[in-house]
Amino acid sequence: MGERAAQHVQNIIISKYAERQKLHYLLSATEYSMPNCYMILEQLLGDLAQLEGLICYSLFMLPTQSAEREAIYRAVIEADASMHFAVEGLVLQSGQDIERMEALWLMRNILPHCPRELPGWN
Amino acid sequence: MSKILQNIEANAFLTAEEITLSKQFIEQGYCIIPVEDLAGLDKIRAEIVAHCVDLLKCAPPDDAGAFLNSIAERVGVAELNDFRLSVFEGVNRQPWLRPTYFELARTALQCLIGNELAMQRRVNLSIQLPGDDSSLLPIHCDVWDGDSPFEMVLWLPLVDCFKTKSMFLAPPEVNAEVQARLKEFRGRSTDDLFEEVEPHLIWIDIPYGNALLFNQNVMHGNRINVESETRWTMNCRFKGAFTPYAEKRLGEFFEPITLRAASRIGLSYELPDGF
Repeated sequence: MGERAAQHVQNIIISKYAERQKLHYLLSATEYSMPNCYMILEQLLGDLAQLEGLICYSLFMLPTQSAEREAIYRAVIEADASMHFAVEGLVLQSGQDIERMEALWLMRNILPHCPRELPGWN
Repeated sequence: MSKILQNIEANAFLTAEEITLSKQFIEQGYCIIPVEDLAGLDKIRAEIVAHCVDLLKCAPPDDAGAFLNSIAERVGVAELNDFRLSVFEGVNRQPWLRPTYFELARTALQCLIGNELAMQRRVNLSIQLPGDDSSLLPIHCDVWDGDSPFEMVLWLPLVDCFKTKSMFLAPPEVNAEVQARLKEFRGRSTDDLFEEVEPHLIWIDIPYGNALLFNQNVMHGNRINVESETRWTMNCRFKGAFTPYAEKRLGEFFEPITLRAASRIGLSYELPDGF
């Protein structure tokens, strides 16, 4: 979703977030750079049984397709884990959190299409 | 003045009350309204006081206003920011805080902004001790700091606020005139800017039980509190959920609070595909 910061900056934000939230930060994982590729994330989701959760840099780095995001949310919840989004300070831990995440995503998708001016209106 | 700011009284779609409030807001840059939920305001203040009592390990006061007004007797400048942050974190942990804060000015917010709103995710708390120069906000417009011009601030006094125990703002016509030549202040400071507009500034006189809605696109700020009592205020930004966002982004700073059925349906609709 156009969210981009240098990798080392993302790592600082994530590790600071973990420190503030008193989360035990194990190690960082970097996604492949190919657009719409989430193979590393998929690997981490498969490893959730051994983890308490994941910290992502931003909510808006998740897949742009809502069905794919839903699958990720479900995988986290079913593993009884949590998914944190450091920039936004949001946490996914239960089904109730999904509505909040998706409202933000859907609005973010629609905003570029909203008018920034109303020519001829008075 | 832009044409869009004029002649609102001729709009046949707005009620007389909406026109009055809107005109006042556009022309003055602010409105002061009695809070729409006094019990809610009392609850917020009581929560603030409870956190203070907990931190200071003192007896709960009989008079919340007097207790807050005289907090300088218990908290010094050196401890102030840590104290403020602890109270801020504590009160923002309450899930009822934001809905209650919104309720204090629901009708006015919906009149002035719209009924599909986004609200700041945490409500700010400001404490200004008498004589303290460490918590000043130099004159500024929030839009100069990167905020969206579509945002509005709901500023809430937790004690009576007046003169330097309050905030100031510049009337829109003064603001427009200075902004048009702001480049003249190149190489000069915010104090120079303050001196230029000081004779024209409005100091907001607002007793507890009222709320201030102000246009953050006009110059505003505070100075050293030379009154004998401490200023306690909260503030929170609102904007139309579908209006442009700037540095304060959707998700990390703002969250939608009153999305209506048609927007929910529209946001979740997907055209059939696969053809």
